[in-house]
Amino acid sequence: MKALEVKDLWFSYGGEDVLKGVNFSAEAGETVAILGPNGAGKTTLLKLILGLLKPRRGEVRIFGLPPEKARGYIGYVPQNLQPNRRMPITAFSVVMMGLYEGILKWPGKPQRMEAERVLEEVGILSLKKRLFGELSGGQRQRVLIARALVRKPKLLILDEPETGLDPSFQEGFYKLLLKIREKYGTTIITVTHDVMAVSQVVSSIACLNRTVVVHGRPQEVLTGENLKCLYGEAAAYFGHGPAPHLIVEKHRD
Amino acid sequence: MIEILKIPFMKNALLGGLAVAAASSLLGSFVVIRKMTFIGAGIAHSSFAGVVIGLLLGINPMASALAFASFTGLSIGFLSRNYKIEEESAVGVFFPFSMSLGIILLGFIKGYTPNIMGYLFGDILLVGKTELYLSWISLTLTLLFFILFFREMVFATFDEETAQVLGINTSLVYYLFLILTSLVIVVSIKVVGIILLSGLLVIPPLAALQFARNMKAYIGLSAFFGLLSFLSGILLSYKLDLPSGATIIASGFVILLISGAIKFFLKP
Repeated sequence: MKALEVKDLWFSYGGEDVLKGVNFSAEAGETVAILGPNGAGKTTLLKLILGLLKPRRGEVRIFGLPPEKARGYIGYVPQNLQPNRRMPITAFSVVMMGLYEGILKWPGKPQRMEAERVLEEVGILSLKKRLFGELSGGQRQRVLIARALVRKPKLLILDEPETGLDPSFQEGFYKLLLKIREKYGTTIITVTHDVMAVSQVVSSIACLNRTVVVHGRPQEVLTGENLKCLYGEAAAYFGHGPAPHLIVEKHRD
Repeated sequence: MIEILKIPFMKNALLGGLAVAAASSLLGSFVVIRKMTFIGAGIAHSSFAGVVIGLLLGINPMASALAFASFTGLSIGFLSRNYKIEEESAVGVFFPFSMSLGIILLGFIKGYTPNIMGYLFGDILLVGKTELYLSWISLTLTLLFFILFFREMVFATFDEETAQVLGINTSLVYYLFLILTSLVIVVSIKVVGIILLSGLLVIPPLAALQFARNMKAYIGLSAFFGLLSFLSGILLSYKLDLPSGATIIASGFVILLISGAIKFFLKP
């Protein structure tokens, strides 16, 4: 069974089609990056996958189920979350949110131990009593990943996770993703701007610009032709050693 | 303290005031953290039109104030959630509109309107049996709301989208919170008055924020500072013959100043 199937998905805001007939799927254990320019509908697509928005046409299936019924399978890391910095909430409490089961269903000791284990796994157990608002961008991102992981998700969805990360932690972050995939066999869907870094981590890339322009293995997808189609400007791409690079052609005025 | 309790109207004032001080500082802890301070002031001021309508029609002003305040609170919430109108802007429209409506309608009340100042600035002498019951009902409902939805409120305040992904009906929790806040605001009017009311919602939680390291401690301390402001304010106003509402808010302010100073000097 496919971990994620998106079939002929249409969505519009105020009469304008933001997504037009999007089709793509992910096998269990696969890591898919969704790439595209600003306004391509990436975040809208994620919200449809998460069941936060309803499509005008088409459907989303997560392990064969509609999103509202597949919530137990999903871990979600939102884009650049900016809660009130004065909110007195510890890193540990944020992770515990991931174990929410419903009204009046309070977590017990096994859940608290699980939250500690996951904090240790992402390398920030020592920060568990620190307030979320006092942490650095990279530390906060790890807390949010821990909150998603504590649910033991079969499908992990990340929305531009590299936003707000200090460059020194970016590499570590992608290593963490690899570790999660290897250890748990989690299917990972990540929206990203960072073409260079993800191409080394993901198994496939879906290029989105209102519709899926192309979906395939990184080396097949990241061609000058596709990038031109996606970014609309004179973007060209070439391989250089193991790390692919993206350059933009000099503008001719 | 004991001698105050022997005066019949002071007993109502004390017991009613304690309940609204606790309820408003509990709800205020989320008002502050969700940056909705202006909404509190907006709902309080919009209840002025409700009070005047009640006096004009000869019905209980508290009932019409509650209807008007809940309508305003829910409208502000609905507009800001569904039409991307900033909460601040929505309040900026409803606040002056309701005050103007109240002032215009005030002119239609025939004869003398002695109670208006009491509603605007609070008058503990106005707290009767009805207000006493209402204040304890609103505290009970507030506590019930916290028992049922505390985690949901914390989660929705921290990250609404993920809360929805986990199956929390964040809109329902938000609207319940607005209705409850409107209720507590209206019930608190006679204790501190429409104009000073946001002080009761905002000052105790701000003092609590100086010390709290988790959400439970935050709301607990907030309620404690709310009760302390009320009790110290009412005792001072009784001893020194000062206006009760203003003295309660001024006490809260002094508590906030002391909390801020303690935090400043204890900072590592």
